[in-house]
Amino acid sequence: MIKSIIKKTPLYIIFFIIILHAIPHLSSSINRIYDGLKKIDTYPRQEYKAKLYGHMVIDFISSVTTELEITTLPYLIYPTHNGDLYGVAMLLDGYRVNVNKDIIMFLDMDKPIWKDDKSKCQREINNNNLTKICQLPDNYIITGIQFSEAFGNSSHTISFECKNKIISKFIFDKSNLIHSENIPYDNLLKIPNKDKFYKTINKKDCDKTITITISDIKENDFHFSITGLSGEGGTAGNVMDNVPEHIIILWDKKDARNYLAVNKNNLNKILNKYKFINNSYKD
Amino acid sequence: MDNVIYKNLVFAVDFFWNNYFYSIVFLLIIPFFFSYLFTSKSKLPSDINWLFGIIILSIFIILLHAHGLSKNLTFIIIYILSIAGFVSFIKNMNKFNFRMNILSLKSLVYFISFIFAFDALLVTYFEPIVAGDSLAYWWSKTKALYQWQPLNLFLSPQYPHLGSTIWMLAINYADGNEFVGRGLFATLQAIIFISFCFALNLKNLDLASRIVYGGVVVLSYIFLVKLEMGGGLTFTYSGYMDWLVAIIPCFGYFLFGYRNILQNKSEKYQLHVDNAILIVFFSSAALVKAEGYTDILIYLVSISLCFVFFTNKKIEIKNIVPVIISFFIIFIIININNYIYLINEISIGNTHGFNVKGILLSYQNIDRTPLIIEYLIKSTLNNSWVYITYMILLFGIIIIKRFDLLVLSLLPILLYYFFIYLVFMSTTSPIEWHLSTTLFRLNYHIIIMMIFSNIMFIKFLLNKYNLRNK
Repeated sequence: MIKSIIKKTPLYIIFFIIILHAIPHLSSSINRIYDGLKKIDTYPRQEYKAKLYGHMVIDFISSVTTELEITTLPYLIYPTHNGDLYGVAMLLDGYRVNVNKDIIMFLDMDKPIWKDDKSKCQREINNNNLTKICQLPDNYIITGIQFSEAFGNSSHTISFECKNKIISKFIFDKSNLIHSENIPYDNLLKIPNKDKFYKTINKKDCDKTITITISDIKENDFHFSITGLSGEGGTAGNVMDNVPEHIIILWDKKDARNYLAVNKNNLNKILNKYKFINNSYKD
Repeated sequence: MDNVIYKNLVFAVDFFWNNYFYSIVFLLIIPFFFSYLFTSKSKLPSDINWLFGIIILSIFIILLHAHGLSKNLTFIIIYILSIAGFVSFIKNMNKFNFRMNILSLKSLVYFISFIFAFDALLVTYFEPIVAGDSLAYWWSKTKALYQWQPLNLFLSPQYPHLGSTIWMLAINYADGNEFVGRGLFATLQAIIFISFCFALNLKNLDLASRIVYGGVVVLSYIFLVKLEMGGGLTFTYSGYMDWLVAIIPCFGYFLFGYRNILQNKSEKYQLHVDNAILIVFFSSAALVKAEGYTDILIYLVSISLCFVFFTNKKIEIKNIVPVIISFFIIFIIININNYIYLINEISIGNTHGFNVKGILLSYQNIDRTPLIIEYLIKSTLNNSWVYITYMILLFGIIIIKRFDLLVLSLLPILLYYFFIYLVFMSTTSPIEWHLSTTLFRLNYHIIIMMIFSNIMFIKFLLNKYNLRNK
């Protein structure tokens, strides 16, 4: 008996070594299983997923794609990437492999064109009219302006002038401002198109400078910045060359840097095909 | 407190019932009876026949999908064939060994390993898929198959998709939740690995040796299931298919080699059902990932040389016929992809082609050698204990003079090292980038070969040890 045990000593040593290695793994796995089962009913998987995939702006894209055919993916444009970012299409419902370039989603893009526009803009107030003449980058798309803070109940007239020509002029008050849960991108004003959507201004319209005038300004500290997409300012990185002329349809209520647009040249075709676009807009 | 535990328990049971129950029932029953149509005469253990069922069921689905059959019709055919298999099983029930010893070592090893597999299952639930390539390639195929999209709409139709089909089978009855299939990969890996370990003849081992053997199997599985590929992603359940493309041919090769070279030296090679099953296993790597073709080529060269070196078969026409048929089966299976591309008019480009010109001219890049060696050393040091164990056991195998096993193990490993060297000598991509992104994944194949080899080494060493102590 003792002889047999001695003979098998090497086996016992090996088994002891195995146990020594396996036990910590086993106990950590059992603990993890126990913890997992404890939190499985309270675990906010959807919230966690939203956070994990937040940089892909999945929620906003999903809110649009649910209205499209199950194989259609909008043309997604991120600051440094256009197209299917890390397989974002595969995280959406359906099987979205057919990119429709007429339906464009700008994601994390719509920001002040200049991070600090003091050196790029001249600002003057005459007869309560605030005029700002700004230089523009080489390549850009202007989507509107952002006020540094909300203003009172008064209404104002704003005009966008380029090449001595008024491109857009309209009256607005604080009810026209767009609010975003993402505070640094709050208090935005878009430029109404002749229909109920919003226009964008590009290089063809303005070239190097733009003059924006807002009437009936009563406070001297009334500030605003031009918002949009710009290669130079860093808001649109390398993708500017691929950005088509477009009409803004709606934006992400959580973060107004994200918006849905339609190719300007095919607006009617898209409106006829996708009724949700018309219906999504509240007059 | 008790109330909270009860509530969690009820929720957990409800959760697993809703997400996994139908998938597990489907995966347990259908592949087994589906394969029984082919394996009724097999002497292989039931778990291997079940694995074979998973593979041929997936190949069957891939083929019917490629031919444009609807999903409903495909599954109806599967159910009909499975029922036929079930009827055949009932008829032969008296031949089936029902002795399911729950207290056997194999069951115990399965039980312990399933704890780790279950851990992996929970991890996949809590950690949604993040790996970019996995999303874009493997999950995309799974999703496409789940929604039964035509092949021309697949994001990458030119890649094979056996692994994604298995993933689809798992999520098909789980509301398409990706984590269900990804989580079950750890269980599938456990079954592949453990079924191999216990398909070796352990009858000569005494209880103490068996317990040591079982411990080694569990420890190896822990290593396999937890092995990381970088960036916090595991090989097994991150959604990549490297684990499957490495383990399937390795399983087929070593079991085929064990049964035909190590066990039956003097008998002539016969293409019986068991060998045919192992050949299908071995060659189906080509249907998982393009690297599978390389694995098959390497294993094929290795097994052929082992046959030449270590068996006493006389070269006669009647001996050559089963060999030719075996090669023909391999040829058919590895060309299933090409057949699918052909009937669907899909251009595969240079995805599957060997860069022959690049390989021939690779001597011009000889200056890359030190860098390749540096990365190989880094990769080796990451899992140094696998290499150390392998070297020690290899030394043991030399001492007990099992040179057949030594060559069977060492040949594919050396050939794979040579392949890795050729890949990086001939690559047209920036060498540092290619090495840093790919080498560890290629080296994973060698790690798998070493782990399977280690299991066989230990089995033979324990055998010798038992014989000496008798």
